[in-house]
Amino acid sequence: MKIKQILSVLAIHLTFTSGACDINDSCNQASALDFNVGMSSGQLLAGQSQKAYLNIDITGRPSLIKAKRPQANIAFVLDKSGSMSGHKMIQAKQALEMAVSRLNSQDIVSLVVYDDTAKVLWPAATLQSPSQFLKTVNTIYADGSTALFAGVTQGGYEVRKYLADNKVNRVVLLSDGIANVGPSEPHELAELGRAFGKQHISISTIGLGLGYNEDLMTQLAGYSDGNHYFVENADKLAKVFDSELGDVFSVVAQDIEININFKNGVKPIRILGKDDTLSGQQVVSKFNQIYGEQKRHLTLEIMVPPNAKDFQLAVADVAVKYHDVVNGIQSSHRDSVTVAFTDEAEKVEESQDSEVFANVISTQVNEVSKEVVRLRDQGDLEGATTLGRRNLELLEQEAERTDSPKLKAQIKKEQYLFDNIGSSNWNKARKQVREDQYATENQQTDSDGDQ
Amino acid sequence: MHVKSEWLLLILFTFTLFIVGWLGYKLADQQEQQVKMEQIHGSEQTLALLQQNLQAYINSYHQQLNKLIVIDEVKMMMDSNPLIDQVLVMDSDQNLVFPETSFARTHALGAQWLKYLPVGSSDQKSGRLNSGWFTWHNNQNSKYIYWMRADRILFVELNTSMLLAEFIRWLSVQPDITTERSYLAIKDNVGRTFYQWGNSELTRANIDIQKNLEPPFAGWSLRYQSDATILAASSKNLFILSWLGILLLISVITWLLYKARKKEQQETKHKLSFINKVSHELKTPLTNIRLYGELLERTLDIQDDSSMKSLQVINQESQRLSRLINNVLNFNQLEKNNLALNRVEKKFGSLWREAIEPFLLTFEKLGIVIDIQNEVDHKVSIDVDVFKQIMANLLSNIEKYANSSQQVQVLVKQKSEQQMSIIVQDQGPGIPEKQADKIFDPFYRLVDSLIQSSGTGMGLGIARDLARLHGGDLVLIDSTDGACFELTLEVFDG
Repeated sequence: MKIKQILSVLAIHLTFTSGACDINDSCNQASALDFNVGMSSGQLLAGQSQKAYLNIDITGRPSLIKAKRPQANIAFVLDKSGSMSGHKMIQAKQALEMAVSRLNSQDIVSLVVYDDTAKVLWPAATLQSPSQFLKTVNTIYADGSTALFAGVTQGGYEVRKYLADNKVNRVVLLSDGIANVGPSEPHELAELGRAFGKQHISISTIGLGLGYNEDLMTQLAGYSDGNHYFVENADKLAKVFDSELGDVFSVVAQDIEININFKNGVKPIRILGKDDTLSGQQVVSKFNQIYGEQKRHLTLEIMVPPNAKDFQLAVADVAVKYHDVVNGIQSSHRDSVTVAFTDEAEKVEESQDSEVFANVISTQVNEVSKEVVRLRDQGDLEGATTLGRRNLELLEQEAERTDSPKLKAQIKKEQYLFDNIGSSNWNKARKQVREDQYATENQQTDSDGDQ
Repeated sequence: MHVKSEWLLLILFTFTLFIVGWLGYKLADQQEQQVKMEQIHGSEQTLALLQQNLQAYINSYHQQLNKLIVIDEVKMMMDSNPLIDQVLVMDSDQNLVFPETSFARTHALGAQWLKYLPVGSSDQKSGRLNSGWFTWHNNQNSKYIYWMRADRILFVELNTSMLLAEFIRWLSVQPDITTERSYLAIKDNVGRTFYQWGNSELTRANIDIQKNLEPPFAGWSLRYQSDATILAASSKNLFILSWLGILLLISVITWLLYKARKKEQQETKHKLSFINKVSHELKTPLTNIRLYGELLERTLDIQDDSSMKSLQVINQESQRLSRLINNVLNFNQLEKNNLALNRVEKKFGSLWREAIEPFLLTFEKLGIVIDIQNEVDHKVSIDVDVFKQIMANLLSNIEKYANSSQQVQVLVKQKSEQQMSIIVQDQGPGIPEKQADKIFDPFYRLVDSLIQSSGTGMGLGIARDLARLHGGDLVLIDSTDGACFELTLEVFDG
């Protein structure tokens, strides 16, 4: 597996050099984001072609003035198919009521419900009359099938009506069932998520109960950079809505576009956690938003050509453009990454950045974790168990070695997966695992550990 | 008589019921057909309109995508337009112009897509082949590719889901043509319901229209189903209900008529029964009066002319009273159908004298001469009482209504092998044509005759019934001068 390769790379100690601060915005204290750009190791072994990692850490600064939060442009998309009837619908309505109580008259709200088809119950508009909105909410009754695709579409279009850089543009989807009208394959919803993500609209998905398709819901959220929640019990819906709104309100930067230009024969291979193979010298990656105090990273596996000892290689130029929501301005950040070459393996090890290393391990473990689920889905219990055990052991070992809190937190999740591979309630465990994997992959801030 | 009219009423009622019901059914059926036809026609039209709109909508895409042939547009749109996933532009020699890459896979893709272009489309004159769509299958995903050929070749790979999302958005603002009893769905190329309107749980449909969509939605279909029977049936039900109302009304009216008639009949029956009883009571004393009166006239040699006249008047009037009573009794007997003939062999000459004798004195006083031409001189088989009764009715009518006549002509002849005919012609005012039909009805009297004090209106009816009972008839014959009746009787044995 890939893990071995990574470990072999990481075993090489390198020195680390940080990129300089751009004179414009990024060093400004009031800026919304902090950047940390660099290699997994500051030094590489001379005289050989080798794999290495380029890492970009972006941290959202805590919003200084708590009262000043970004305006929200939210479409609530509610599954009102027959399976939602009763307790679920009551709880969903209460969750909406709670959500509305946290929004103000500057926020733009819309409400879409779907059963056999999708209907815009409350077209996007500033929330002037919450009571009127709730009156509409109360007319909803559960009935019919699940036109999920149409529902998300209509929600997306409602948000698009008032799309703005300084607003948090978001669709919040609540569903408890399998889509049975319209496109319903996870990859189809993923593509829809990607299309909306391209328009800077994030889709957060809330899977309620044990009847929804977690692959579909995580991919829809993943490709649009939204959140994903697994809520087994409808009583927790209000809490999840609250958490989601907390995220929305704490957005400090949006439309983050990271442009990496590789130089001097350095070739990007792939972005960790993504399947796409990279080509050319340029890599563009995007985050839809970064929340206050959230730390996101972009780690690229790269191939560095052989160089002589003591040579300082300019690896890449990094340019980040983003909308600073706190200051309401368009900002940018520039960095350049260099790496030195040595013939001493010890120096390589010393120069290793343990945080980047933890990122790499975390991502790799998560990928293996997905493979475990895939094996389990195929009915290969033995294979899944073996791989799961190996993955867990590796994670424990690396967590101890690097003393990374991030990896330590991940142990609990991997343990849960390993414990439940043979579980009679795999359906539920799978949903929990998917949520965990999603949170790790997308560096979601809140991992509520709702197991 | 009673029974017959009841049957008539029943038949009339049943017939009306049947006609009204049949008409109602026919109309309802016609209406159902009409409703269905209108539905089909309407549905076809609406679907055609939807298709037309869809075509216009897709054409707007073409215009938007055609701009991408300019590389600067591509660069601008690639980032901002969520619909566009990938664009390839080639020059006329099929070399890749955009994207500028040496990446082998992109070139391979270009070569692959070129194969989808229709052959011969390079011909600039066949303008229709210069742009179009094809579906490209990449792993399990279907990708919609738009191509356009001018001096360059353009390929645009669309984000399938965004294309579908745009399509849904477009569909959601189209007017909903469905009702609770119809269903419209768009099925994608693998038969899944993509979008739907109306009642998705429609269990039966007698209208089912399917139309195929144009590229890029090739393989997709539009399906419209409607249950027009329910629609038609509901209007049919309403229709049947109103018809049932009409039928009920007819039934009620008929019943009321029947009731009224029944009551009337009952009353008449009671009256007749009373008259019958009285007549019977009167008959015995009257017979005695006549008997002794006639005996007195024959045996007593009364010289006193005035006394003799008085006696004659008494006898005449008692005879008349006797006729009246006989009429009443006969009428009742005829009504009950239990009058039997009592035929005897008799010479007609003597019979005739017996029949007219009671009238001779009166006619003489009135100055009426009876002129009889008798061609029958052999014996006839006849019920004497019946014959006398008929004649008495005819002659008393003349006495009452045609007493201005100078002469009454009577022609007696053999009409056929079995029947004899007696024609009686007076010179009175005659019977108006309009009333000719009614004079035989029981209790009917000519309006003019109201000035006359006597008469029951029973005479002619009874006379005819008696004649018919005797195998003949009594009819009114057209006459320019007074009234003329022909009496036929079956009097000869075959």
